[in-house]
This record gives sequence, structure tokens and C-alpha cells, in this order.
Amino acid sequence: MLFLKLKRENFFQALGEFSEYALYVPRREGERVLLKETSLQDLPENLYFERTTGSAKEILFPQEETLFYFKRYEPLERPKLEDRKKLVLGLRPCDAHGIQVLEDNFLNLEPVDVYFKRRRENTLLVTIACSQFEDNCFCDSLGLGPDRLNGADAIIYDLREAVGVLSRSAILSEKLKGYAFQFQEVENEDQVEKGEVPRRDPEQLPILSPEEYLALISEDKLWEKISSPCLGCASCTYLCPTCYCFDLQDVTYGPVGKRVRTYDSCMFGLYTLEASGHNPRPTLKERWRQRFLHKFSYIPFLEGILGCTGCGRCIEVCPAGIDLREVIKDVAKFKR
Amino acid sequence: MRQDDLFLTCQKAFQERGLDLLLGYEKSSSGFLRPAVFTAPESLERISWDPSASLNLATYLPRFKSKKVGILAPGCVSRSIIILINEGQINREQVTIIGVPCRGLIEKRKLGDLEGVRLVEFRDVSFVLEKENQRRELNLEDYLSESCLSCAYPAPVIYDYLIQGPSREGSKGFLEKRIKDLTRLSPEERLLYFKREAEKCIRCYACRQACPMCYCESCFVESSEPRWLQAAPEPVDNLIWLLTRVYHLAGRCVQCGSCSRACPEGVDLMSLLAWANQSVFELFQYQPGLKIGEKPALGEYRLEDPDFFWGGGQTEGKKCCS
Repeated sequence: MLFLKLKRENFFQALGEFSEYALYVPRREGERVLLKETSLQDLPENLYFERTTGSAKEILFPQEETLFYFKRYEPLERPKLEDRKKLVLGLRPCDAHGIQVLEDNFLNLEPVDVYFKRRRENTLLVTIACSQFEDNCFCDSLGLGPDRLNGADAIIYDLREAVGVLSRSAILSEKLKGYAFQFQEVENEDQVEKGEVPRRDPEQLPILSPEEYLALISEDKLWEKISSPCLGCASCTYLCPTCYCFDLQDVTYGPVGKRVRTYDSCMFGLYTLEASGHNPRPTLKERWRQRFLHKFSYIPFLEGILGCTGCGRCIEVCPAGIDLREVIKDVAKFKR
Repeated sequence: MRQDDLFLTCQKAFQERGLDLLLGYEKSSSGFLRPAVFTAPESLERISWDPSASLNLATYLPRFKSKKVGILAPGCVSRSIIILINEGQINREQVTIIGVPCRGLIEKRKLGDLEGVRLVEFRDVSFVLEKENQRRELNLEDYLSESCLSCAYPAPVIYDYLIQGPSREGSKGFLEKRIKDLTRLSPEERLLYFKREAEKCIRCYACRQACPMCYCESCFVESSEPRWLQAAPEPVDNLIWLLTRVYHLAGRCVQCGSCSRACPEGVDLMSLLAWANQSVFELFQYQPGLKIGEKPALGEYRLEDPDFFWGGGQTEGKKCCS
């Protein structure tokens, strides 16, 4: 990892080096904040970006994606893989944590997902350390922090007159070096100067071990209690930065068609409905158990990181007002 | 409305009617209300009701068909219950309706930057929010949902127990101004408006799940034989979803705004729903959810029904919501 310090004006100049990249930043459009292509001139001087309404996963794992086209009696045809280079600036450290979970699933397990891989290789993710906590976010309660590099290629720190960049991408380091007034190799991200990072007394959340959570799998009463107000929509999972479940559907027009991958949600009954009509997760109780244990037991067990980033989007959008922080506390009460 | 009145009445209803559970609201950590399922009379101490509620509780009723259920009901919820009874989804005897007065519900989206603040209290015509130890008093009327601003029946239509308190005054109930504005547009402009709205949709179906009238065990969007629309959120499929839902709700929607408040992307759902309802009213002089035993407008054929579609009938010259 390389830690670089740049004067503010030099930082913006350095971004000019990325002319072959399309620049994406969070931008407000009405009630929503979306990742949109922008020009260098339109970047805000203070480098403050609002948190995106949806999660950042869509930049690498879009809600809809064509995997191949088919035509009767003819071989399958794969669409041209997206090779546009993107520089995504202004995401949060929690977004980068989500990307890390996605990478573990799509890249580090066989078979490697070629679509995701190509996008990831063509994308430079530069996050910015949070200048303030957002409503309902709780990364600090999970032992994570608003200043972590996580799955990003680089993270930017506000050092007042200067900009600090911690980079683990060779391309980024190489291009920024010429503009930095100081740079050094670092082993540990805690060694670098981070400027003013927001701190607060985090709400203590009792996070159990993956094994302890797994032991609660048959606590029907617990899952029933938690899921009782749930409506069974997918707003939490579609906006969650770590939810990567998808469905495959064939879209046909007579003898031709395409196979499309779209987001799916474990909160839907259709998700586990079998062709026989049997549904192994017939009610919201089983679906909630799956969603919770996947994030807090299975992903930590398989990937070694928490499947929740603490971004708080699910809390914000839940039409039934279910608060994941309270769910975490409720679950811990059942610990054996 | 007094908190102890609410608590004592609910407790009384719970015991007198031998309820299995009571559907109400409780305060979340932000001070805004959220739905809660109360399964014991002791737990009712937490029950609460004010304009920060959002979800229509009747949406839970079809889940508890075999149970004796109590439910807090302002006007819209009581009307939803009537429709659910009329459509054979629940039995009247199984539901105990605790009518509550309604001053309208807050549209959290209207709070904009203030979203995420803590709600401190409600006063006569205002409410107080707190953010980083700064308090602000806001006028309630300015932050009400559009559906509530044009609500025709704020007070409960039927009830078994009634909590006393002031309700909003009812208006005509069709979001008149919005519909007028939309009617003024050319058909092309109108289509463009709804296409833009549809583009926002992520098809999470929060609207459907938050709607008491969307009780189908299997929704048309889940059918794969035939497949009415693609699972992917393509703009055209989104539009099919939004429009078909509106058709399914024409003359059945009580315009509670539950779907609209549940939408994470802020899609304009109310305009089309109100429009469809207005059409049904103009054609059949029917408003849903006012009388138990009534047949739904589109579930009954009467000889005097307008027949403009075939060019004849008794309402010559009358067009549906031009």
C-alpha cells in the first residue's frame, strides 16, 4: 500500500490523468442519490458526496444483466463483455466493505463470474472517509469504521489543506505519485495520517461468533418474533450492499431470446419454491432466519468478514420499521 | 387522544374479546411509530398512535385468518377492513376494531434533510423534531402525506371500541389538484411522466406488500406460465407492473397511501390510484369500503351500468375521466 499526500489543487489535476476512465460520483436526482457519470469540472471542491440511496453493488453487479443470447439451432452467443473503464469516486467505506463480500462470492469461489470479474478489473473504486455519521448507520458498532479501506482500491482522507490517499492499486499509485508532495509505502492502514475522522461512543451491539449464531438455527420462537412485523418485500435486500442473490430467467421472442440475470431476494416466497410445489422456507420466519444467518454466520464463516456493513439502508427503507440493530440485540438474548 | 385511554381500551378489548393478538404501533428508537404485533395484554403498555405511523395495519389481517385479532383503525384502515370482509378474506367476528381518531400521517420523505432526526412530541397542530440537541417545531399540515391531505374519511367508519379525539376534516378524496394538473398535460406528456416514474422502480414489491388489498397468494408478476412481465426492472415492465396493479385496485383502493410511503424510491403511485378510483366513482357512483355487505363496483353487473365502451348504453356522451 502506498500513502500519498497531495495539495488539493494537485489532487484535482491528478484526476486529469484518468482521461480514459469514465468518472462516476454520487449525485442527487430529486429524492434519490444515484451513481452518475460526471465531468472533472463538476466535482465539488470539498469532495463531499451524499451517500447513495441504493448500494454501490450496482456498479459491479447490476440489477439486470444479459448473460447470453440464444437462437434455435444456433450456438449460444455471449454479449460483448463491458470493457469501459470507470473511476468511481465518493463512495463510503461501508460500500467498499460490501464490494469485498461480493468479490469473495463472485471472484474467490469457483466458478469465477466472468461478468463481475471484467467489471471489477475495469473499475477503480476510490472511497472517501466519512466526515460525519449518517442517520441509522452503525459501522462503528460492528467493529468496522468510517475510515477503513475495506474492498476499495484507494481511500481519501481530508487533511485540511492536503488530501491523503491510501492506495493499494498500482495504477492509482503510479498516476498519483507525480502530483504528490510526499509518499511512502505503508504496511498497515492504521499507520497513516487520517485527519479528522468522526468518532462517537458507539452503541454496543452484541455480535456473536458464526458458530454461536448457527446454534440458534432451530430457535423458532426467536425467528417468529423477529419476522412478525415483516411484510416480505425486498426493499432491504435490493438496497443491501452485500446481498448478491440472483435469479436467471429466459426472455424469449419466438425462436430467439436471452438469458437474463436479475436480483432475487430470500424474502420472497418464490425464491425457494420448488417445482413440486413444496417450499422449504414457507413463511417469513424461515426467510428471516436465512437472511440474518447468511449475513452474520455463513458469510463470516466462509469469508472471514461480516456480511453486514452497518450502512443502515435496510433500517431506513423498511416499511415495517424493522431495525436491524434491535434484531441483533434480540438474537443475542437467545444465546445459549 | 390520551395515551392512557388508548392503553386501557386496548387492554379491555384484549380481555373482553379474548384476543390472540392485537395489531398496533410502538415507538421506534427514532420516536417514529412502527407496526407491532402485541400478543399479551401486559405488552400493550408500549402501544402508541400518532401521525408518525406509516403502514396500513389491515395489510397483516389475511395472515391471521385463524386467530382472533384486534386492530387499531383510523378511517382508512377501517375501510380496508370492510373491503377485506366484503371480499371474503376475513370474518367480521374474528376482528375487533379499535377505532382511533386520525390527524393525517406524516410523509417522511417530505422531511428531506431532516430525515433521520428524532421525533420528540406532537402538539395541537405541530410536531417537534430533534437533531444533535437542536429542536425544531414544524407545522403538521405541511408534512402530511398527499393521501391524507385529500382523505375523505379520516375518522373510523366502523369500530367496536372507539378512542375519543379530534380527527381531520374530510375532503373529497381524489387528489383533485394532482389529477387536474395531470389531465392538463397532453397524452404524450402524461405517458412520459409515468414512464419516468416507472424508471425509478426497483421492483422490490414493497408497495404490494404494504397494501391491504394486495392479498393474492400468488401475484401475477410471479406467474411463469404465462409470464406476464420480466423479472428484470426494465422500464416497460415496470410500467406494466404499476399500471396492472392500479387496474387491480380500481374501486378497491381506499387511498391510505401505505404503498406510497413504503416505496423506497419515491415513485408516484397515488396519482394513478386516485385517478382509477375517481373513474370508478364517476361511472358507478361507488366508493369502496363504506358498507359491509356491499359488492365491489367491478364485481357486480347492474343493468343501469354505463356502457360507453360499446358506444351505447344509458350514459351517452359520458366519457371516463377525460
